Amino acid sequence: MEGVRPLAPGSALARALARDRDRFNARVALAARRRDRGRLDPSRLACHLVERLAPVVEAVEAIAPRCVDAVCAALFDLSVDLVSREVLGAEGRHAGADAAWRETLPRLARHLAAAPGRVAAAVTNAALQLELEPTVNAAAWLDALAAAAPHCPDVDTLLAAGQVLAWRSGMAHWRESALEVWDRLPDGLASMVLGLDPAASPPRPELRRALDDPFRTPGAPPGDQVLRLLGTVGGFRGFGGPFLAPPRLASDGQRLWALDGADGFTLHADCFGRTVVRTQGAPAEPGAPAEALRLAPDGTLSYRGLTSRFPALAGARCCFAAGALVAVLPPYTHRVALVAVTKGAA
Amino acid sequence: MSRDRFLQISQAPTRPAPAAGATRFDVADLYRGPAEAGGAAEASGLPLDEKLRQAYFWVTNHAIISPFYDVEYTDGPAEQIRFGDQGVEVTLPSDQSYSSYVLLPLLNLAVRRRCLLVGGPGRGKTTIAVLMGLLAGYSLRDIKRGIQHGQPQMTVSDLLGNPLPQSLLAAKEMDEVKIAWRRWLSMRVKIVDEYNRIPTRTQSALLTVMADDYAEVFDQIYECPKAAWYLTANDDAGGGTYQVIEALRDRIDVVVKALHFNTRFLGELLARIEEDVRPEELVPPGIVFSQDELDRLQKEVLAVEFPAPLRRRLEFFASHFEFLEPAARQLEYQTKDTFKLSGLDPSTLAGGDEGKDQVADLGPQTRNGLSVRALMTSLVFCKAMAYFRGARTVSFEDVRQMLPFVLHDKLVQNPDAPWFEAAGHAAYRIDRVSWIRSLFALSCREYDRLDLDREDPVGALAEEFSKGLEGLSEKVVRDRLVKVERSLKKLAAGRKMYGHLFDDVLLLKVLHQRYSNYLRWLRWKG
Repeated sequence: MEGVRPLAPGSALARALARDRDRFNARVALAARRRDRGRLDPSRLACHLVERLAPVVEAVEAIAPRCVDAVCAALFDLSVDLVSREVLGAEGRHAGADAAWRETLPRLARHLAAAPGRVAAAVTNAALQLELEPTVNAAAWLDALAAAAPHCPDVDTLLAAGQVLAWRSGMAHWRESALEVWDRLPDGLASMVLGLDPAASPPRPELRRALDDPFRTPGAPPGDQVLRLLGTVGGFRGFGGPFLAPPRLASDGQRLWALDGADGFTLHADCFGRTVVRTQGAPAEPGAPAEALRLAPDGTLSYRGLTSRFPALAGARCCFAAGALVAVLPPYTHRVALVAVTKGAA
Repeated sequence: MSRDRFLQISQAPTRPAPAAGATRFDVADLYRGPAEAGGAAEASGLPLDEKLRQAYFWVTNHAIISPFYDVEYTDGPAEQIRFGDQGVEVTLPSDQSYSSYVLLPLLNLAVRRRCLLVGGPGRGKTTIAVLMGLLAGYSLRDIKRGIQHGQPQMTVSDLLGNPLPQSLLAAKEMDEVKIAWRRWLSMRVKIVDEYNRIPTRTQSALLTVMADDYAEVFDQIYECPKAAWYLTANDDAGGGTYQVIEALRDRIDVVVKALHFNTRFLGELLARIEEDVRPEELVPPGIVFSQDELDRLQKEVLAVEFPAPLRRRLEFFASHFEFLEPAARQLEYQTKDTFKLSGLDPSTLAGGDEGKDQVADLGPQTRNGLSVRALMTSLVFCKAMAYFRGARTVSFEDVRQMLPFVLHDKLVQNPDAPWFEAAGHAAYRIDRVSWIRSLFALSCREYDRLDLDREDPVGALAEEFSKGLEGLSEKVVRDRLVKVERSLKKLAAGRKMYGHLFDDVLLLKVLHQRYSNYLRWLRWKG
């Protein structure tokens, strides 16, 4: 095919394809005819196989030559499916998924050998999910996963580590479930996924207690309790944010909500990031602002016996609290400011 | 038609349950997306009952054209429409329902029993058995090579294996003879095609493998692993080239009829011909079970609870059939088995049934009672059905649906019974599935009429006994004996003896004996 670098005949992938040629050809022929899951472009597939799949198969052959055929079959099928749907092989469209195959999968050879389809599908899907979140660095997550891989004895642990790393990358709404996963990780890995040196990390129980404060960075010493402005979330949809109109704030006692008239969004924040998530079940009424929550016109915020002045909040007329998190809507903006009650240092 | 549609697996959940509670943000969502893992060994923790259902739907949607829902479940009122001169009712089930032709072989795979597939030639009996083998992880090649084809020249050696000639010549003792065992003996899905064409002598060898999981040749034993068996035959009457020996027939746990081909689906056949599609070559890896999963599946099925009240109904149902009053003078011997062993012609039996309510007395409709084996198989398949539907407790409907298939060959019909002469009952002589369902319905009606859920004095006495005799005083034991005797007299007072009473009377006799022995011992102890 024009423009496609040929596959080296002696390469691990070439040999694996040759061994089961009929099956792979049938797979491609069928995919080229079907309509309901995209249309397969053979040249795009060929390019993907040479540029992305071949290095992965080489990496697997180097450490587990007996698994090459199984890895090749699983990843070939996955490649055919994803190239058909233009998730892979479409230049620039899903950079995260492409980076996952280019940079990360070759570094996960041991885990791929154990469960090729599962690992490749999980990493691809994760990359796609994370690149949708503007505040998250999907490439950093891929790199962190590859760095953690040698410390993961099996596929389940690798994928669990990946989940915790995703939360740590800034997916604050996954905090609660990610902590359940973190609790099950082995000690050294548990420190590593939090960005701590396992040799210098506090003992596990102490680390777990520190994680009870969502706004305190793990490993950092506690300070006095203060109100801390975390930053803003949201924005106008026309500029890449989620809101169609300046949102109204609400609280159901457990979560903070932003309602833009069309959809409801929950607001999440912790020491690793802040997210806005479209969510079903928005409260019908905004709810009463929390007791002892006061916001003065000059931006002085009082909550839970603490008081701080935030000039950026001056003129805001609306604020709600849920637990240790306060949402404030400054004037003339689609962005919501978040303030936390925390003992963690800024 | 695209072959890729054969690779599609029904999306979980296949039995949706209403969600509850506020949205929970789950980090597991990280790995959800357009990329699909596939591969049985890589399954990310899908519950096995869900996987079993996915396998069922794949087979019915893509492999076997069996657009039937003869295993009907309803969730609330179900519309019924009458057709034809006989007023046959067509029910539109309101809950998820199933084709017996696919469901029963799949349940058989889960519980590793013996399934007989019957039907005319070319109806897919062997195909469904092959599919079960593929779902168990065997390759198509291994499955096909492992099928034992019944034919009149089949010898024991053909079935089990041959002694190695060299060892046969060199051996001085029998145990020195090495046997080249047939490979199929080691398989955990065993298929015997047209088992009623196997010669009688070879059937005996097959019986040993089926019943006791071992093969014997020249005093050498090969222990076979526990397997799911699939036997096929063109009829289920035990006829064929050779009469099937009764012991072999009795080992069959469930009988499944190959349902006819609905001609409205001819287009599907045409598409398969044109595309050269053979679904058995396209089984998606995601629904293939590993050995480990099959082991776990069986354990999970057996752990399904069988509630006591439902078990009591099944006991009542089973109690109808064994009793035959004219068969003997001693109560314990008044059974159909006693009569059968006598070898006498049934027409020599006179009377015994006069005045009995034909609705309450179901015994005359059968020529035999239920064996222990049949009862145990019933319990297992009821559990399997509940498990398949995602329940952890057997329901009444599970029992009602499974009994006809499990007892199909176990309850031998007495077609001369007066009940079959009643209007509209003639078809039950042929349609044994419906016949057994009607038996169960009649039994339950009688059970409800007797209000046995609330008033079961014999059961209460048995329950009292089950708490043990330890520490009971003479007075208490004597009081209990009086209660047992009173209960017996009450049962005897002017009532006809029906099957369920027969078992109750025998139970009371057991209790009386046990209490009497204990009383004797107490007195001896002083």
